[in-house]
Amino acid sequence: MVHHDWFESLIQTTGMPVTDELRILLIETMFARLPLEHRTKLMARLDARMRRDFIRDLPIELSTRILSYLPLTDITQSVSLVSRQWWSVTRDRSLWHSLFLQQGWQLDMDRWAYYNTLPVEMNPDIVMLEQYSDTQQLQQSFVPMNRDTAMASRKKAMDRAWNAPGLPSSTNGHGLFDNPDSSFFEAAQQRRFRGKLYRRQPVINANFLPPLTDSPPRYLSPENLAPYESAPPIAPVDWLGMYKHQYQLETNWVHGNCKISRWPMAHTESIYCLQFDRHNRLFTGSRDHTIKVWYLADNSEITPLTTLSAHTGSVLTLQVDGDTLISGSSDATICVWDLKTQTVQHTLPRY
Amino acid sequence: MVKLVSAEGAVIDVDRDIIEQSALIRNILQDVGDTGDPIPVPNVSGPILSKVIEYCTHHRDDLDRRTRPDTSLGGDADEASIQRAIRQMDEFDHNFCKVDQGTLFDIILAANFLDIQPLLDVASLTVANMMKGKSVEEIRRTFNVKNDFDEEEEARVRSANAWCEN
Repeated sequence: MVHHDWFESLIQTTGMPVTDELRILLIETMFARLPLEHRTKLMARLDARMRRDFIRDLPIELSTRILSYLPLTDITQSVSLVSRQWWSVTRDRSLWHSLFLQQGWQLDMDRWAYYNTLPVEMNPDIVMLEQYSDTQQLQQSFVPMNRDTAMASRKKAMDRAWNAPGLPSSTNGHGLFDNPDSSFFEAAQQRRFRGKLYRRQPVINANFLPPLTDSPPRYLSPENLAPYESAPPIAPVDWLGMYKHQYQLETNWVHGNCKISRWPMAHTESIYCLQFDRHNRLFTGSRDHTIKVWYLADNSEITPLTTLSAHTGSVLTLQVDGDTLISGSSDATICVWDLKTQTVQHTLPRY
Repeated sequence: MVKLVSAEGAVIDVDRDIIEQSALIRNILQDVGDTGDPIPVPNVSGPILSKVIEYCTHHRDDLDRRTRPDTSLGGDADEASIQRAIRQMDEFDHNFCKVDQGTLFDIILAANFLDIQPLLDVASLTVANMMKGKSVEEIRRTFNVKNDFDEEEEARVRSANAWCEN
């Protein structure tokens, strides 16, 4: 810097040894001789020089750590609007992971891995139902997540993760307006769909109850699993998306935002109890003595699957585990149902 | 006594139990043993190293700070650990962080390099508090950041974050 050399040689003309103390003395002397107006301006400029852009200049894991201490509204309504660089840091996946956990929310990683094996567009269940229109295949898609299938799911997820071009790592992928995960998902989807288009219209038999099976389907045979003994990593989670989803759910819950819809084949009397299972099935017990099973798609479309009638009084309580449903009724009996056959396995009377 | 060598080559003596709050130094001492050889800390300048030692000296008997879980990368950070970090900030910590931004910046880097999680918490939290509740313009002024958005981009940021407007 020319400026700097000129200043240094000026100092040297004093004949004194050039030290920091001398520099300070000279600057202070010059500063004192400036008119007040210039001193004020100079102070403002020096003050700006002493400030640091923590978010731009720190390593990304430290910038996100700072932001993780902030309330959500600060991050989304002010910090994100400071500059392009700040905006891209507010999109960082690990930041949203941290914020997600701070809320006390949890993500079922097995289920996440399972969803990753499906040809996901925005609505995994719809696409899944379209794809497996015949009964045999649909059965396979409802395999419970035991250890082996989870492992196979992870393997598939990893395949997609490793083969997908443009997979972002934690150290890059901070492009402006670039959801860190979107390129990954797009690439992954292109691979899976291979140009095939799926109509967004569920094909489902109204009376069909997807049975669960304990034996792994063909493509998960032990031979196929053999090379993948150690569990491979799971595809990266879109934590921002997860956070948004959960946030909106809770907001709706708190503010009572909901849609009331009439269901086909509804109960004729009050509903006393309900249960969900992890295959998006909803079980309702009613004063009309029946239990109904519904398929609840992610777009909140409801499809009746079956009606179970055996009780002679109101159904007051339900529990479901795999393919076994247990119901308690005001007729003083407990029924144990097999959901595969939709029949009562046992009746425990008069309890 | 452990000898540390700062970036400029200055040797600083520090009690072993004090500097073992640094997971990096603790691991070095465990792996190599206390040979008495000076340990180089090339990423940290002398004045910053002195500040860090000042912090560690003050907290040398706060054992619960050392056992708190590692929340680096935000991976394992949960609400409890962050709340604890906030609660744990005492008078000393607040005054310790009342420094110019350049020094605070270097303290964060040093705490990260030396792996002193409680100090990293305290310093990061201080920076976060400088943003909390402030307008965009105030934040830009505080950290001397230039607005490089054009109008269209700013509108896109606003609409992308509209999901949490209450």
